[in-house]
Formats: sequence, structure tokens, C-alpha cells
Amino acid sequence: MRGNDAQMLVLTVLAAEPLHGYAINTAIEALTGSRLGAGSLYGALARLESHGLIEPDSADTDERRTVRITDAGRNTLRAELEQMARVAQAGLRALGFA
Amino acid sequence: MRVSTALVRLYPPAIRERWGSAIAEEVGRAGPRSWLNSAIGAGRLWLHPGDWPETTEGETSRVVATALVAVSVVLTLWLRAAGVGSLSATVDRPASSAWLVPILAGFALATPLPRRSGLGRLVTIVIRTLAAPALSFGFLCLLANLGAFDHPAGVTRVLFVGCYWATLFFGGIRICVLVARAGRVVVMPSAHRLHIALLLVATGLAFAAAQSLALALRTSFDLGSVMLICALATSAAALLVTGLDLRRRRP
Repeated sequence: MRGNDAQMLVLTVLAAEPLHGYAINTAIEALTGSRLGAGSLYGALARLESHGLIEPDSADTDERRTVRITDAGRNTLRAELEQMARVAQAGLRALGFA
Repeated sequence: MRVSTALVRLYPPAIRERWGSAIAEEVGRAGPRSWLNSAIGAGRLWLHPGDWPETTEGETSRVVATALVAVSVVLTLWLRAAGVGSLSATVDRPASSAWLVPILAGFALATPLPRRSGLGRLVTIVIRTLAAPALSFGFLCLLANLGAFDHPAGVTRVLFVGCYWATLFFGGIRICVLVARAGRVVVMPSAHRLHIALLLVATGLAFAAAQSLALALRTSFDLGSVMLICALATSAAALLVTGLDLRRRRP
């Protein structure tokens, strides 16, 4: 998953709660200020599901296919975020801000 | 047809089934600025069948096999139209058709196997799907052999040529339809078999592209040959990427 912003963003917003596609993009817009294109968003959802990082929500009664993050997805997201935090800290230190 | 509906149709069937209405909603709300991203996303997903949800058993294999036949039909018609002598074997250049060997091996591997229990249904599907193009082809052969139109000219010639290409296109489309329909009553090749089949066909197309390029370098480039070389090379690359991605799919 490393280096794929769309997958990372989807996992990040799904970590809070199960959402359907449009709501995922709305949450991403609230987080970053811009929406993902439909191709990027649903490509990321398909790839994350094929890797077992997200799955259809079993309690889903919405026609719009709500998905939730899996345990494997949480572990992957945590590992990615920790690595990003280490990189961010190193960068800030090098710039003299930390 | 609305643009959002047309864009959804570009996606692989399994993605359409799972996310189609959501993609249409997203495209409809975002407007024209999302069209390019949606089309590119559809193209990317076609190259990654390992990402498709298996909505019905064997659907991925059926769709990949149909797409392989569709690409082959388009390239065959293109080669027929271009009349490429450099890719055909002759007495003094027997190896010129060697590029076909891996392609035929790939097709042999990708061929679905009939189920004994579904044989009757398969025959019905074959007859229903291919009857019309077979009749068109028969009619064309009959006209050609009547002798009355040996050297057509003017409008008659245009009509003959039009009929000929219309029959070829019609036959090609019906062959794709046949694979899609028959895929429901036969045993489709496994992902592993399709993976190897796609790599073999990609190898054959890459050889054909290289052979055409070598000939063009020795003689001269024209727009037609450049476009054909690009089409062969692009198809080879696309099949290679798709074939490699199929390795990820669980059996």
C-alpha cells in the first residue's frame, strides 16, 4: 500500500466508522480539502477489498454498499502512519522545527 | 445516454455490479472535471483483474477470456485491413509467422472445457450465437463464387467491400458474445492457466511488434505501420500487466 495516497486516505476515514463510497469521499474532502476522483476512489476500494484490508459491512442495510476496515486494515494503517510520523519527525528536526 | 452511465459501462462487470451506482452518483455530482479520472480508473481496473470482486463463480475468468478474445479480434481485423506481409510466412521466410506460435499456445491454454452435463446447452448457445454470422459469411461466399461479380466497379465494388468488412466485424462481435455466453455453461480456465495464457499471447504480440518494427526500419515508416506497431506493442504490454496481476487471484 505504501505510496498510494488514495488507499491510505480511504483507510484513514474508515478507521473511525463504516461508510459508503460517497460518504468516504465526503470524509476525505473534510480531511484534505478536496475529493478524490471516482476512478481513484473506487479503484482504491477495489484494491483494498481484494487485499482484505476492508470488507462489506455485515450490518449494511444501505443499497450504497457500506464498507468497514478489517483488523488487517487497521494493522496496515497503523504501520503506515507510524512510518509517516517517523519521516515527519525527521523532516521537522532537519528543518529545525522539532 | 448520460455521461455518468457511459463512464460506468467502461468498468469491468464485477466493479459495475459492486460499485456501479455509487460511481454514477459520484460522477454525476462532480461533473465534467471527474470524467477523465473515471475513465482512467476504469482502464486501470481492467489491467488489474486481481482487484475485481468475484460476484459470481468464475466471473473473473469469463470476463478476462472474453476481453482476450475481443483484443485478438480487433488486432486480427486490423492486420487483415493492413495486409501485413511482413508477419506472414513465405517459402523464403518460413519463420515470419513464428510469432503466432505462442499466441496459439496461449489460446489453447485459455480455451474453456465443456461440461458433459451442459453439452446440449453449449451447442444451443453456439448455434444461436453463430448462426447469423455463418449465414452472412455463406451469403458472401455465394456472391463471390457466382462469377457474375468477378470484377465489380463503382458502387457495386463499394457495396461488396462494405459487405465484406461488415460480415467480418459482425463475426468478430458474435465470437466475443459466444465466449461471454458460453462461459456460463463450461468450465472456465483457472486463474493460473489464464495467467500463463496471457503471458504467452503477450509474448507473441511483442514478437509481432518487434518484427514489424524491424521491417519498417529496413524499409520505410508510414502512418499505418507506426499505428500497427503501437497497437501490437500496447496490446502486448496490457496483456502482460493483466496476466501478471492474475497471479494474485486466489484459486
